[in-house]
Amino acid sequence: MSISRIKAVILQSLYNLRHSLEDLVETFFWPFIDVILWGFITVYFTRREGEASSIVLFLLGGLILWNIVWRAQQDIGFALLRNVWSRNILNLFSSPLTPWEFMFATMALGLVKIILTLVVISTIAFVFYSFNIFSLGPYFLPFFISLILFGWASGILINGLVIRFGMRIQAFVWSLIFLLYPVSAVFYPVSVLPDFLQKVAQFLPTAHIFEGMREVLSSGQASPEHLIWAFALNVVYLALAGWFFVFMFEKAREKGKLAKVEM
Amino acid sequence: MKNLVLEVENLTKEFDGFRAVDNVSFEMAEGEILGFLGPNGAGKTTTIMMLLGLIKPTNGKIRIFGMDLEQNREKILSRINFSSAYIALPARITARENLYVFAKLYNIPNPRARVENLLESFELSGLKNEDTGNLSSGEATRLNLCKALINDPQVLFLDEPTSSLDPDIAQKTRELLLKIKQERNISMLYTSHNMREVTQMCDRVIFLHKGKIVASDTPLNLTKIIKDSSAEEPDLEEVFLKIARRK
Repeated sequence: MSISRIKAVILQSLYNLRHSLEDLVETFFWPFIDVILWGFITVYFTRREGEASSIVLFLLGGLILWNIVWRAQQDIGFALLRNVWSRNILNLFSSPLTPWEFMFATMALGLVKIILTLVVISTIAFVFYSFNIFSLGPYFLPFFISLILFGWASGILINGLVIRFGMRIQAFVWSLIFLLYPVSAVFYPVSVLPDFLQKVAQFLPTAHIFEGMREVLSSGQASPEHLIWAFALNVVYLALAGWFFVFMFEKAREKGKLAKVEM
Repeated sequence: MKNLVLEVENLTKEFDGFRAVDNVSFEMAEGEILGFLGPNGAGKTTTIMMLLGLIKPTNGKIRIFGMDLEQNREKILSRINFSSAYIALPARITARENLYVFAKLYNIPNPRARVENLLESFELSGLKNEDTGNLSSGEATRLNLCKALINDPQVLFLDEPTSSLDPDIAQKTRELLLKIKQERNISMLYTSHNMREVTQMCDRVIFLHKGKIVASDTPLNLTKIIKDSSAEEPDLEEVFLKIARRK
């Protein structure tokens, strides 16, 4: 594992961020719009219903935390896609860079970008709606880490698919995580879901996190069970995703797809 | 006896039953420029991709600097490089930034100085702060060559390196590559469809056809064998046509 090579991939993305309006928009604009929009919706509910202040917290809390998962997944996906779009992927992987180094670099970069996004949207939520994400108290950090880990796992899984099957499945990068959106119980409790989806939700770290978040926001405490489940599942999924990416990278080399990944 | 930097033995690649490279064996010596020729679909690019570790061979062995490529991928890749007319560097970042990223990827000591030197050698200093996407195709090709030389490679794979250059810049590029070869004793595997260029550049030429090596020798000897035994000047154009039109 070479730190210099990991730095190189991070540096490339940071240069891109500096020069690319799309990247800046992706990082800040959409999260900003999301918080503003959902903020007003929750303000509206607050005014209509007496007990809606907890709903405000649930919705904004859910929204901010879901953005973390989404951003984490997108950052991992885009780091690869940008190199495919620019036909640079062969330059990259004909250098001594290993798939593992590429993965670590994208995760490190993602962490920086998520922190930046989080600072922006949390500030907006606080200034406009008096919602303090840190009201989750000491639970915030483990929730945050757990959501990032899951975003990374899904991003790495998608990168494995893109490397192996090429650009025809790039739509996954945009949409896969949203398949899990309804089952993750971001804005409502898992108990609302039909039985079979409740069973699926048990295996989603996100569902455990959002259940925990609602517990903290309503009672000030979360049962450790949710956090333990979320972390355990994340460790398993991240390890599986890493293995899957390397496996798909090798398959792509075998099938000659790495040389034609832009197709 | 010359040092061998590249040894390829019975290299084969099949894609879903189609044999793109068929039992190919060859060697390249230190300081040699080896032309790798053949019509489209002959298996040149697939072979180069295997030599770069980007495609896994179905069969056969690749040894570079005496080491097995599959077992020593990182070590070998840090000492080789390549440039192709068909790949690019990220368009949104500047020429200098792109080279700096690759200098870090190859862990080059004093990367800034290395980048500036290369930009100057390829007459790109004035464009170093320009977005790569704004460069003309000739300038982009020269930038690709800068990238290919960033790690001072001992073996360079060049896939049609001058295909999009005007005659003046193409000639300057060839001269620069020959100068680099002389100064550093670098070995190059060179593909091109420009037979005059191949004649000027290459010490030896391998012809591929339908995935197999069909001829291998110096340009003049190949001309004698395939075109005219009394030839005194190489004529790879004719040699190419004769080979490409074989059934």
